[in-house]
Amino acid sequence: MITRFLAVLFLTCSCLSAHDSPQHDVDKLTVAIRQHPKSPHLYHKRGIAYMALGRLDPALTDFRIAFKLDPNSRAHQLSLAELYLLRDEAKSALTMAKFLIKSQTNRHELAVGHVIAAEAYTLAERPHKSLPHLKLAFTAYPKGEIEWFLLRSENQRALNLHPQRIADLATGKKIHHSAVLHSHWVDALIDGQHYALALKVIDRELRSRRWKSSWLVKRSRALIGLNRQREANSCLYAGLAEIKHRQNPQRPDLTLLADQAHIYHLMGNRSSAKACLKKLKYHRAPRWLCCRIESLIK
Amino acid sequence: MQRLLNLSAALLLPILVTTGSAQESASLSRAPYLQLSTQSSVQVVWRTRNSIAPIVKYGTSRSELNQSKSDILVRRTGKKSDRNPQPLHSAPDNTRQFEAKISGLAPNTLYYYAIFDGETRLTPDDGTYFFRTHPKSGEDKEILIWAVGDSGTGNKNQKSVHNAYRKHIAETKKTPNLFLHVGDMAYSHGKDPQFQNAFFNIYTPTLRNTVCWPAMGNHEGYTSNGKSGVGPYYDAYVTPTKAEAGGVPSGKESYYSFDYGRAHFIVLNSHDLDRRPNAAMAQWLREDLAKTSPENTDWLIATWHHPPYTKGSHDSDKEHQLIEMRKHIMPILESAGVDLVLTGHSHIYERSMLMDGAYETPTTAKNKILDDGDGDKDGNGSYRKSPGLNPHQGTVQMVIGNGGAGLRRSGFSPVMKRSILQHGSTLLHIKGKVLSGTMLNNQGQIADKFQIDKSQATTAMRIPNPWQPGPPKDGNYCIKKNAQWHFLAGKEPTGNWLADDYDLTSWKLGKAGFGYGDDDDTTVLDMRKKYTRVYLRRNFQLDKPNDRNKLWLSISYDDAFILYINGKEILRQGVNKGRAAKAKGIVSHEADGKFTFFDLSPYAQHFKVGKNTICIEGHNTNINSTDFTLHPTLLVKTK
Repeated sequence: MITRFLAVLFLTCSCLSAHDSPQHDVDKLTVAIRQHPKSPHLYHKRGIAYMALGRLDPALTDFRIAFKLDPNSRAHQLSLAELYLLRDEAKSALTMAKFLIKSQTNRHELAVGHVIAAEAYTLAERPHKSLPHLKLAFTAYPKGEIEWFLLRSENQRALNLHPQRIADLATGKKIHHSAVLHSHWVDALIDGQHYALALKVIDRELRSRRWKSSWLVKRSRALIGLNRQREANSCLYAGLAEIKHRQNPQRPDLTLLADQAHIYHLMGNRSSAKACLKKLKYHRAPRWLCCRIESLIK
Repeated sequence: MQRLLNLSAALLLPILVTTGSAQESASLSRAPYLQLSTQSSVQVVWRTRNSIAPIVKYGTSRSELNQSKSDILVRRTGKKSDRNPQPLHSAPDNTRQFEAKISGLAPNTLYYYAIFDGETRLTPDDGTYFFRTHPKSGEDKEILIWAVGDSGTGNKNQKSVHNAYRKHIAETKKTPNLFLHVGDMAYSHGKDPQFQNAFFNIYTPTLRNTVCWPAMGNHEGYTSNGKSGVGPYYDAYVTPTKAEAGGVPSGKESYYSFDYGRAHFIVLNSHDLDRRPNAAMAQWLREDLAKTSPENTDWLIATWHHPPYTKGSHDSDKEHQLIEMRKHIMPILESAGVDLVLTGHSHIYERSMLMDGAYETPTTAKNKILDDGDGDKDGNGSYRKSPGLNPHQGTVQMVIGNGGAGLRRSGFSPVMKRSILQHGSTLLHIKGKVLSGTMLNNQGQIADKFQIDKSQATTAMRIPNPWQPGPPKDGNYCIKKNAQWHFLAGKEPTGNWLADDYDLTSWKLGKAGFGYGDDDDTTVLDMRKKYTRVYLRRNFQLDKPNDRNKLWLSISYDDAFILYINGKEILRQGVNKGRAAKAKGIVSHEADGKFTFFDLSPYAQHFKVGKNTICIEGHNTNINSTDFTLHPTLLVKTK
């Protein structure tokens, strides 16, 4: 038994220590698995190598076998949960989150389990179910991570919980000093109809920016909220000009293209917004990006 | 301006002779090193295994360290507590890590420092413990950068790369302002002792006076976590999270940016964070680039671990992380005017042409290359971009995973101008509107060089069918198979046999290939049990200047050789060090009747139009070997 354990350990280490491509790792691990078909560790490592190759189906098979052979391993649970989320399989991710919550050995691990559960509910478009898990995550690990604050904000936005969203993002900013949280906090201010305050922050921000288009979109939204349509329009035209200057028409930056669609939407130019959406789809933009523009156009 | 880079010889010589921890007090378990420098501050970090009263003394004169810092963060092994607010992840028991933030410094100023335990000095007074603060943001200062990737083996290859670099900076009398490491600095699992052995112990004399700005590699990822910022990697480094050195705050140690003079540097985590465009890292990148001021910045340089373009030990057309960095991150960078991307992971040196917009899988070069020359001002000319930070004017991609780990090639990426299987490191030199890059191999030779020149306005034009890398499919032979050579066997050449006017009357004439065994040689030699070396020499003609950039050596060899052109060594294969009778470390290689191609275009400057002389010394692994082959040809690639 000990010999077998040591052999598996050696095989795993030799595969891990190698500076090979993931395909080499898969090949080596496949040979090792033939010799030791009951080793969860080898399946798990091969699953990781498949992930590196973008081969999600065989990765899922291996992670499932690893989990079946050793369901108490937190690494197996976490890999499987993350892969389910990547495959948009919310229900399965939630099941794994429950295992992760149960197997925690410290407060950070407990929080990670709850965040996975929250992500699964967000994926299933059930923000009211996601938020309690995020609350538990932040209770267990108050500092949180930047991504957790963003996830909570997204769910609060979906439920129009803007005052809480603004306060929570402000807390995140204070803890992490993240420029991303700052940007989302300004969006929350606008969504929460704090237009004047948002405008003050935006104008200060725009003074020090080279590329302004995404913040000009924010500014125009704030101005529209303040019924200053003409000023909003001039922001939108300036944003549009900047995006056109920056875009490589053959291979556009898809987020800039989405900003362009947003600007056309705010201008009331539905056909141009639709044309941008068409381009996004042509360039195989991720689903979340297309969905965001689709919901605007609707 | 020159003062910034040209430290006096008096300052540099001790750097070379001081080999690191041997000179330092035995109580230092990790020698002092610099981190997170800014215009007005720097962090000095070191470790001990015993309790000390830590003090850093510093000043602008080596003989007068008239300022001191004793309010120092102490991190220990063990659990988090009021006494130990930031415990070390997995350092050896009783380790104390001291992190001294020295602030209130003047910009662009040279300071000396020393570590004390109370009144006892722990670092020697040898003039090698110094730092220079960053120049003011936007100030036009020369910048010299040393960059390495995939080095963390602790083996002779890593050491030879570092030694070649140390020798080079001593010869050129320049001290780099920055050290960029693109990841995999502590094989195989990035554990604390592996960091000590394969990073801190190797680079000690460099780290004490040059800040290393790291990017996390996959091997560090076995023990460190980019999401939580916990692990030996995050213990080793202090990186900006609050835009302390410029840029916008990332809130994470695993990705960050900083300014140095008129250059803005971006470091990303390509390993264990979400690389998609909606993820926090990409959102931060967009914010950071949007706030990079063209008034203060001429150059944008980005680094991370997984290369968007490579055909070395990894393949960027097949691997998910590499594809995602190309597909999601490169469009953001190129629409903001990035100039240079440095990556590793793939154990090879690759350097691209000037390129833009190649985000597809598989990578194609058609209409993605803006200049298909070599970028060498002495060759096809520098790459040209307009002054400032302009979108889509071209990026140079460098894969610098040749810092110490075993080298491997899986093919030729269509966007790469150079693809070299040699250990080495990269030096970048920014002077005003010109950025120069060189690959210094572990023999101390410049194996590649290029420039990006931003001094004049230019219009980017896409090339429909650019130059294609890779071995020739067709070509014109300068030296054909079975060509006649002068050869010397069983004797050593007298005098300088590489010299242009060398007397060859005592040499014989014979047709290639030379050797014995395997029945694959035309001139059969009586080497077995008698001698292990053969010397070949002949002249050849080059008609057109541009032919120098298209030359390939096609050679069948068993076991090893050194190639000289016009008296200069330009290539060695399987000979570790030394030449002729003093050659050592001969590595076995079977010819198997095959010819192997070597791209000689990186050495174009050594060839001339007209008559050239080629010399080759062939080596057998040992006197009892059953075979030997040396059959060289030389051709100009046409297709």
